[in-house]
Amino acid sequence: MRKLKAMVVKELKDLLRDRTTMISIIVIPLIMFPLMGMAFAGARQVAPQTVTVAVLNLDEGPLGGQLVDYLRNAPQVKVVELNETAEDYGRLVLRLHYERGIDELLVIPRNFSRLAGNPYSTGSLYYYAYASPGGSYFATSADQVVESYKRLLIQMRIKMLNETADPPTVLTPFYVSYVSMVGEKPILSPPTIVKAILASQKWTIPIATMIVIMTSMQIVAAAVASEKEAKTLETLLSTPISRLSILGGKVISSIVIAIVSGASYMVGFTIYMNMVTGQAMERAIPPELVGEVNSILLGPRMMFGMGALMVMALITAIAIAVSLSVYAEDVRSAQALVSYISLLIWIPAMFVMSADPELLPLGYRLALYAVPFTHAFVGVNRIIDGNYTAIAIGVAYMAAFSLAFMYIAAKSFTTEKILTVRLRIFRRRRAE
Amino acid sequence: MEKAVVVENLWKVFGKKTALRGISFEVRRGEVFALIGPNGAGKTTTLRILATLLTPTRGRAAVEGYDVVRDAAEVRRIISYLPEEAGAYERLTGHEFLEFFANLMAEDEGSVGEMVKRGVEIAGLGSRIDDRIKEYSKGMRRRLLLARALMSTPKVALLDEPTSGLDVYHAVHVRNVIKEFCRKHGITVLLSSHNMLEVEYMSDRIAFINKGVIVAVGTAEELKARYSASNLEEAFVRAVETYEEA
Repeated sequence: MRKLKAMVVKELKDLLRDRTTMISIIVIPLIMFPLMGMAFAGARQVAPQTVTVAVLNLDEGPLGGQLVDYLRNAPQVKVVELNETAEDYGRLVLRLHYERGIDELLVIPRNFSRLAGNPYSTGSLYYYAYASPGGSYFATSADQVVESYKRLLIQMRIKMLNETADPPTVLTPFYVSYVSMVGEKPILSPPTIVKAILASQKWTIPIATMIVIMTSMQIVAAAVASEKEAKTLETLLSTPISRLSILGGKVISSIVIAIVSGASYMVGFTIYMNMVTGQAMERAIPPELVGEVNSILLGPRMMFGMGALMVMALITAIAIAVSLSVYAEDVRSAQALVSYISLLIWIPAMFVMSADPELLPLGYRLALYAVPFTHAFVGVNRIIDGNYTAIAIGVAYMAAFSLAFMYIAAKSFTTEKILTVRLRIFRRRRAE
Repeated sequence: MEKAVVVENLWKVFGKKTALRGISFEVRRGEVFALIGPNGAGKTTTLRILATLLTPTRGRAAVEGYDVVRDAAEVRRIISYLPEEAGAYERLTGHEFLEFFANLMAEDEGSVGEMVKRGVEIAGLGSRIDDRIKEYSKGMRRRLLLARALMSTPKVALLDEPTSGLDVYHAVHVRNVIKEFCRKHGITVLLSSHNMLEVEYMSDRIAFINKGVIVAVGTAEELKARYSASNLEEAFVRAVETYEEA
């Protein structure tokens, strides 16, 4: 145990003192994501806060003037009335853009009041906008104000048809009481919204899992191969420490660093998401609903199930990385080998994030589930569904996979092949 | 005199290349025994087999009575191996490096501190022992590695080209440590070198090895007399010629 502890301490010191590794896997995620969020927030602040819309009101009735007043009273909208007319309004909006910096043009035709104000006919409006590809993502537009005015006119037209009618009641023939079951817990919200929240969790967890798994694979591959590259392996192997302790020291320290790295990514990513999409999310989905769904997802049952799957996936990844890297000639070759294996992580992760594997034809589904990491990525769905048998099978499958690869790695450490076989990507040569 | 190392008819084949062709020799307990020969002669392969890193294709090797294949774990407890191009963990300090290996070598926790203290003395790096190894010169690294190899006072030290590539100052330090420390603690030393002068200065007995074959064994004086040579280099060349003619 003392020797294993010495090995772990040595590995951790070696890894933590490697500035390049530390910066790339811990510091950069913590800084990069919030910086990206700040950049977005900054872009939002410098984006034009008001939109200027040119209005050409040709209407002979009262509604045209009412619409212009409605626009004037809207926040963030500045109205410039035009007196000139044109044959081609597309060219007119271009001229307004280049000569006066106005990007939007609303044309109210002569018969607007007559047609739109009559509940038995339909009027028209013409809205032209100069859409610049270099414009700000956060730029506002007056088109939503026009849509809002349309809803006002609908209510007015209902009232014209029947003075006793209550327009909001007419527009609301029935209410739906939505109950969305998340596992066994009922959520009183439409399934579209609940599904959107669940879907956001569905990809957050695979991303976090993927980051931790891939980082740990790279770390452990480097830790094993660096002993060869730095020519310390022979010395280490000639000392009275068991090969399994050498392997164990590298695996344990890699897991510790990978978890720290994963946490750093998630902290940075959460800050980014809060900065960028928080406001929009709150507008579209009530925050208390997000909290309610998350409380189910982050409950003890979920955390335990996900924890078991994550740890098993991590061990499987490390077992694969170790068994490959023992044959690599140097760190670069080891990391290249591991990169090829990362396809086994990317493919199921991307698939699970975008679709339900259960909908695949049997052959494809079996191929997907043959990849051990798939079981970690589909974990959220299975836990919500209460499918604990599938979770147990997933954990058992990954455990069997890990044991097989750990056995290969341990065997490699006990034979001279660890010194004599040197893989350089896929070019193999033997040396004395 | 009791034998610390016994090598009998040892063969090692790597694919199509035969590195050792049935070599045999014995190293007596407490002596400094040198394997000398050109690059590719089989010196490193022999030491790696004795260090339990490689398995012989044929033949047998034993250290203090323990077979290097069957009793590999026991052999590792009583030997210390210094590879020719051994590296060190660059991000550890010299002290941490010695402490790490002391933890692997020591039988109990109580002897770790004593072992490290001995290692620090052997290395003779003064306050630089607390610097990161990446800041060491090649000579300083080699001194640290030698200290690592000897601080556990192993029964048998296997030293592959211990002074290779070192400047005079560090080479003299390493030679003196091997000669004095090992003699003082009764450590049997099996070293390899192609520096004949160094070998003559340090070794009690010498084996000439060429193309995986041992062509002669004896003291420096015996070998020079046997081949009517004025120095070991001359004796080596004549020994190889005589062997090839025979």
